[in-house]
Amino acid sequence: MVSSIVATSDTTLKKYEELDPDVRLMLQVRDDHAAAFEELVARYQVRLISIFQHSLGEREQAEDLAQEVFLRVYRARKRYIPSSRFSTWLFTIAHNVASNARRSRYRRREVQVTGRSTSSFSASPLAQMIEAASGLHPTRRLDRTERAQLVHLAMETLSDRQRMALLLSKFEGMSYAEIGEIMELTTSAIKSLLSRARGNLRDILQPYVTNGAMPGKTRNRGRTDKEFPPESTDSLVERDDESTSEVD
Amino acid sequence: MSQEAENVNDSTRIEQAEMVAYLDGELDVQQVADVEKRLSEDSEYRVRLQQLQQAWDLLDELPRSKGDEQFTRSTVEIVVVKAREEAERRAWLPRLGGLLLVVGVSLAGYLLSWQLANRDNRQLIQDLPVIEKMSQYKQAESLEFLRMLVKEGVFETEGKDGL
Repeated sequence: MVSSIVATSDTTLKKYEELDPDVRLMLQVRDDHAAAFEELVARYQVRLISIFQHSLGEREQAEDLAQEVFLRVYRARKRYIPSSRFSTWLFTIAHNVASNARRSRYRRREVQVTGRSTSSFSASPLAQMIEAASGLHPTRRLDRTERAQLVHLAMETLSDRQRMALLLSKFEGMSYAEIGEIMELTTSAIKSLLSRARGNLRDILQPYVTNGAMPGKTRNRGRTDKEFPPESTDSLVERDDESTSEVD
Repeated sequence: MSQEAENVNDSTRIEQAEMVAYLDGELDVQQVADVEKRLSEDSEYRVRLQQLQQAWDLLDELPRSKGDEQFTRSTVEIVVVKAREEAERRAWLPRLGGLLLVVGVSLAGYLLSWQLANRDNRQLIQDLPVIEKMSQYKQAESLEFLRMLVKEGVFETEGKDGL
């Protein structure tokens, strides 16, 4: 029994070592090859920063978190055993780092919010952007920067889990199984999570796609009022409270 | 919400999940064939799929970070320096423990020897009056003779420490 487990893990190790060049690099890092570590940083740093930036919203924090991920990789190098693709392992660490960062951000926010009156809260950034742009030029098309900002704000309306799953799928081209491994969810749960995320994005961005207008200003011609939710962007978003439920 | 409305919602969700999985290349051959058959027959279904794809394509508008060699090198340096500092801190812990142990043992040894040395001194101090008059005591023939002299008041002028 024990020998079969050892044989299996040896096979797995060999499989990933042969298939994934980044696993080979990481094994060199384990043997203290500095150049291999530099190569891994060069390959993944920008990708990590992108994920963190679009997930948490701040470039500077994204850079710090990417460094934190590499620090963890470097610390864990002597214990590294390839049991999945390197990117899966790396983004699992990144997911944990992002979750920690979000938790401390929420804690900080809770402290700041305490003592404030609720009347001091303004509308959501997306709603503000809608008001600002449509108030000035109701019919003009957005330029590239504004489009990026619109998409970014639409992303912000998603839940943390929807956003992370979406980013891993879009920017890393990961399969549902890989995303599930990283986020510790089943493949079916990821399928459901991504479906809701993309549905939410479509609902928010469709007005722009259809006629270049800011979301909320015009209704989608092909849908009835019953199908299309009210113009508040908050109500457009379907949250993933039940994200672990499976859709088959 | 009525049971009927819930069923419609569930079926819409399942249908949307299938469409998204189709776009993501996550369906098996049979499921792909089913979706494509529906696409060819149902224009509304086709529109919904296009809308999902268009919203997905808009994500390309999000700015992508750009890296450079200098940035990579500085990250590597920061990580290696931090890791080394941590390793040094960790390496210091057993050393510090050993150092504290040595200091503790030395202190305990010093206190013990100080105690022992003082015990001898205390005895000497206690015996000092006798030691000072030892030459006189030696001239007496016996302890009984000295006690007799005490009784007769010979040492009274010299104080109680005289004997």
